[in-house]
Amino acid sequence: MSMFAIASQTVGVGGAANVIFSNIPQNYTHLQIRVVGRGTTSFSPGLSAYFQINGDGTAANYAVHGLFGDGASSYASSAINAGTMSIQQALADSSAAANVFGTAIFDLLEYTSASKNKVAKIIGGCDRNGSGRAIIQSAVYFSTAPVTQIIVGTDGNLVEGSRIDLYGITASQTVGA
Amino acid sequence: MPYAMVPIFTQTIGPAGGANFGFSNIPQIYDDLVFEISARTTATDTGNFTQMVTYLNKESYPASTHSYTQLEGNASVTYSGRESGTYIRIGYIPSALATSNTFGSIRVTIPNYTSPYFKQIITESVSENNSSSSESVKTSLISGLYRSNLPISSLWIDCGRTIAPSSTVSIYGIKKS
Repeated sequence: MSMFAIASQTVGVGGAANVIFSNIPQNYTHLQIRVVGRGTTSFSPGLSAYFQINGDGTAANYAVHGLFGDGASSYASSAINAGTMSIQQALADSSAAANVFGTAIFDLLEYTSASKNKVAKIIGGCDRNGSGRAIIQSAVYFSTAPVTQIIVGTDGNLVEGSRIDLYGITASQTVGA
Repeated sequence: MPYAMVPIFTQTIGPAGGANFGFSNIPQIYDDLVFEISARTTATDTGNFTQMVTYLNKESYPASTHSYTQLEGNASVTYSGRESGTYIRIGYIPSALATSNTFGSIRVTIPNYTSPYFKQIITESVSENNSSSSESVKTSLISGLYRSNLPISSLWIDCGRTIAPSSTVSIYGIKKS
């Protein structure tokens, strides 16, 4: 795997509503976004990390499904007309102890394809020493358009210290057969 | 254009087996760490798989600063649990009772490992077996918390049993843009 750093944003003092990656280069095969995040909203199961594609907020253009563990039970979820790609309950909320951030890794394969809807695998979680979540989520953007912009946000604002990194991953041209 | 994923260390267990993987003097120049683990044990007393754990900043051992939330599945049921103590469970590897020559696969990601915040880690683990019995395999997704503001400069990985020859751990540094 050849992995290249494209862009990174670290939230500064005062927080930020979201992080925007625009003009995403089209010369990679896959994208990966790595999130370390905490939000300003209070919701103890944890906050979602949202990934809006190409500035499209049309609800019907997205669906998400997830598998969750909360330390006591495991459960699944689904949502159509979701309005965005997301991983739910992966980031720390404002009620979490100080210095606790959640994490998420968003993998989007073949993001430049003009013949495939865009499907992402997102893993993440936030352990809080007595509570927490471990999550694997799938998300689909029903569009064959190449991905040129991704907006990453959470419930409320992202707090100082949150960091979101964008990477491009290339594939070998060798068939190997 | 420099690679964002840089190999740092690789350890391979020799013909006599090994007690653990220990890493010291982890360079502090990257943003995230990723471990890729291919391993198996010679144990015969743990069923078809054995847990694998990590102790972060091993010079501080034992330090009850580790906790984790897990989402697991075997061949028939899912399960979620939570523990707190001196290590973070990172997954499961096949034991000597599992199909021969079959090694488990674990990926551990530690974002922001040098930061002054607590460290949230995420692990993905699969073990395989040529069996459909319910306890023949274990798949897991685990979020872990290391409650220390110290950067991570060393760690142990072990399973409490002898690690089989040819088991490997590769550590990579991830550098953001």
